[in-house]
Amino acid sequence: MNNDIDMLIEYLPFLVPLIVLQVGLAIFSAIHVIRHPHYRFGNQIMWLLIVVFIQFLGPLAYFTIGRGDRHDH
Amino acid sequence: MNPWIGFLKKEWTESVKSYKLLLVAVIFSILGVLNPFTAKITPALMENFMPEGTVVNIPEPTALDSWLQFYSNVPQMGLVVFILLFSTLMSKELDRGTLVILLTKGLRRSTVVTTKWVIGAAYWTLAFLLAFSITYAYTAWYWDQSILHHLAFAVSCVYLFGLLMFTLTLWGNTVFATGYGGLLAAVLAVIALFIAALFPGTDAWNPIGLLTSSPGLLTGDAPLSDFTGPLLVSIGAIAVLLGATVFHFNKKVL
Repeated sequence: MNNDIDMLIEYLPFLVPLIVLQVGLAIFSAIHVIRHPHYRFGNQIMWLLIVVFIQFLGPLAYFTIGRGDRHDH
Repeated sequence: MNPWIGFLKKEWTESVKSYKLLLVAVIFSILGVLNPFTAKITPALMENFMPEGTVVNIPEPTALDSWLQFYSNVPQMGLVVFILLFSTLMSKELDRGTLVILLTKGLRRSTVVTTKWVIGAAYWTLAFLLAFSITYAYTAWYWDQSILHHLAFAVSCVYLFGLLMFTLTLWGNTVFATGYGGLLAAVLAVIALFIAALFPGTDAWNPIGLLTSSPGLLTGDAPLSDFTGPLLVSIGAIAVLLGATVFHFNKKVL
């Protein structure tokens, strides 16, 4: 058990930036999904699940193919 | 204002507003951290997954492993994501029809092509430098990098290959004027280059060598002179493709 904690601490310099970037991107995308309820296809629930649970490919898909253009409103 | 600078500013604003800057920065930072992380954690993971009592003899990771991860992650994940993000640079503009007004007001067509290329190239430079400097910092912290040969040159090969792929995508996107045109051109070109690489003698010029053989530069196995051909061919191809894009766009009926 102690060994696991040692290992965790050893990898912390990698894990902290990775987690901050991924969680940050997921939260930013989720807020964007909620505040801009217009999508090229799919609905809000679907995009929320995608951006929150699919790490970094989810937000990428949302911003490239899912997000509605301004003139779609 | 100079129309070229003006259109460049418009391209830049558009890329920021469409979250390209954010996505590129986040994704390439993640890749930068991922390279040394994968190199460092692989032996520990192997030990955990081996059945109890197996004698494991995994060598300690070195700076080379970290950079080999860079060679597999940046072209495979990074470049693919980058090309996806920038594959509709031209077709989106043509779809919207916003260009017609500007062009009839006297905007030169070559301005449209060159500013889009410069923006894409600037993004690729930024993305690449970001991933490179993060991987470099981690690798320098954990390992001894003096065992590596020609690091700057070896990674520049990947950079140049990425630039070639982006130029090819912009060309395909302009010629076929659909979102998939650019992607298709890039994918077909990579497949063709890989097939060509199966034949002996093609490594003297094949740009794919910039990806597949340049890890040998790091270990010192491949001499620098091996890369003269692929480098010249790539730079030439970038210039020809950019010229062809301007040519096609000039002829295009909007």
